Amino acid sequence: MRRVSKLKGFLDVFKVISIINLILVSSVVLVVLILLITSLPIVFRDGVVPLTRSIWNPVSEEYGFLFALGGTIVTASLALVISLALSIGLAVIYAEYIPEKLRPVVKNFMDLAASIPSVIYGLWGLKVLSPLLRSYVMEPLVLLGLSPYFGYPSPTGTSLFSAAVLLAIMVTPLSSSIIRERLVSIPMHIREALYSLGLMKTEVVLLELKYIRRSILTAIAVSYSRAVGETAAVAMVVGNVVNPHFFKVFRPGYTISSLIADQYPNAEAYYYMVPALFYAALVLFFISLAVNFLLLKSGERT
Amino acid sequence: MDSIIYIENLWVNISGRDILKGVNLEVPRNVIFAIMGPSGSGKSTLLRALNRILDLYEGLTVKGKIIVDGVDVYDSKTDPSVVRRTVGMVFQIPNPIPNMSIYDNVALGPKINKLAKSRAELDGLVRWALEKAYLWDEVKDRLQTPASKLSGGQQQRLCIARALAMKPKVLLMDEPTSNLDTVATTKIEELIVELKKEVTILIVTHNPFQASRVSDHVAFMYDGQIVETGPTGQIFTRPRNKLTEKYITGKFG
Repeated sequence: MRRVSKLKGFLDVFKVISIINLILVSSVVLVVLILLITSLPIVFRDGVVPLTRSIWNPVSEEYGFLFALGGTIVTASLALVISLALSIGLAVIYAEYIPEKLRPVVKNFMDLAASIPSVIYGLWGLKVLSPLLRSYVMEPLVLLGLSPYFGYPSPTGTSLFSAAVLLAIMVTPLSSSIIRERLVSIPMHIREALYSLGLMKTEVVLLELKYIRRSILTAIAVSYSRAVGETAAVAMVVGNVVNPHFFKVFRPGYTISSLIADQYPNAEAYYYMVPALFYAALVLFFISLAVNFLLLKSGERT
Repeated sequence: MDSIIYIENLWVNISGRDILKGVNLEVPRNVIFAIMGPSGSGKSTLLRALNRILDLYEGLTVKGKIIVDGVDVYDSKTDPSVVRRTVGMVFQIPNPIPNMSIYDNVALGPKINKLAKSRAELDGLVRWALEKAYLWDEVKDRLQTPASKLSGGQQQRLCIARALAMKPKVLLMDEPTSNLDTVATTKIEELIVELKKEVTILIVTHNPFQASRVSDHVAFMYDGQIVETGPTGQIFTRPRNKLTEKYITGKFG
């Protein structure tokens, strides 16, 4: 009898866990469904046209968010390149140059940086980073005659470029810790093998980075999906301007998430703006899905 | 006597602990020189001092003098990577770079140190090293497969080939068979004896029988010091020191 009741208890727990799981899985499906259903009016009216043009005119109910799509991809990609250099650099410095006694301090400091709320990064980006980048990076480059490629910065420095740099700074602690942990876990006998062949430190570090390339891929995917989805901080420094020339990164612009955050408060006043924003959100969802899919794929290969 | 290695009053301290306490040793050319002793006697540290792989450890101080093939190893002007090119090393755990192919593992040292002028010369060098390590016949058809696919004994012979490909003058072996089965051990011991023609071999072992099987000269270490050293036959038949006698008769260690 007791055995049966035990089994029954186990089955009950199993049922509850299954239901919770079912809710979690179905909530993802529900989210996508709601995105899809809400965006249907504009999908029926315009098809894929909003993906291909840059126009945001609520008065005439014309919407095309290519500028935000481009802004998202440009800022996230630029952020990725910057943060990859920073992350690998920091991880190598940590693993090769910081004495073991100091490591916990540095590690805690880096982990703390990863846990700062993004709106605080946003405030700092707005008040400190953007003006700094404007005075010391963007303006000098414009003076060198590069404005045809990058555009002219705004007076405050808010721009796609500032957003990308801020994103890079925000994702670096996490992506660097992924690389760092793998780097310090390379067994001593492998490091001894490399050094015993008369290799210089730089040569050893390069081979070690090659050895842990899968962790670097993971760091890339994690950074990219975080950068694509980041909202609060980006909305504060990106400028929130419809910029069809999103490759001119010194200009202010929009990303999909900053477009939604910035435009939603007055969207209800128009027929098609809510569907348009949901459509944009759906596209954002598929971008992060694609990134995560690539992450899984890269993880499978040895 | 023409010796290749001179060690003079060598003290090594790691993180406040004296591991080597005034080691003096001379190693003649083209012999197999075994260093035996119980665990913790400083054998591995002595070996690691010779190619400055000890530099990787934190909190290290080295006092004393080591001359290898005329080079003052711990002189401030000596580049450790230059020392490591003349002094190859084989480790306790077979440690090929797992994600690299068999070929690339052997070619790595010569490639980085530019020992081969052409691809053909490099191929030749890799083949020569693998043949010397008795591994060529087993791997010649799959040089591009990852080294991690090999068995433990094969991996250790690959590591020997990798060290040989640098054409070192001295080969350090740190308990090279302690992680292998008896068949693989016998194979490696035969190989070591054969290699004497190419290089001077210093082998560390905690097994006195291995020392007696392969070496020409032997040193017995205890508590960071060399207790006794001499030709293998003499040490094993007429040890002068009581500790040595106890060790080789298996009373401790």
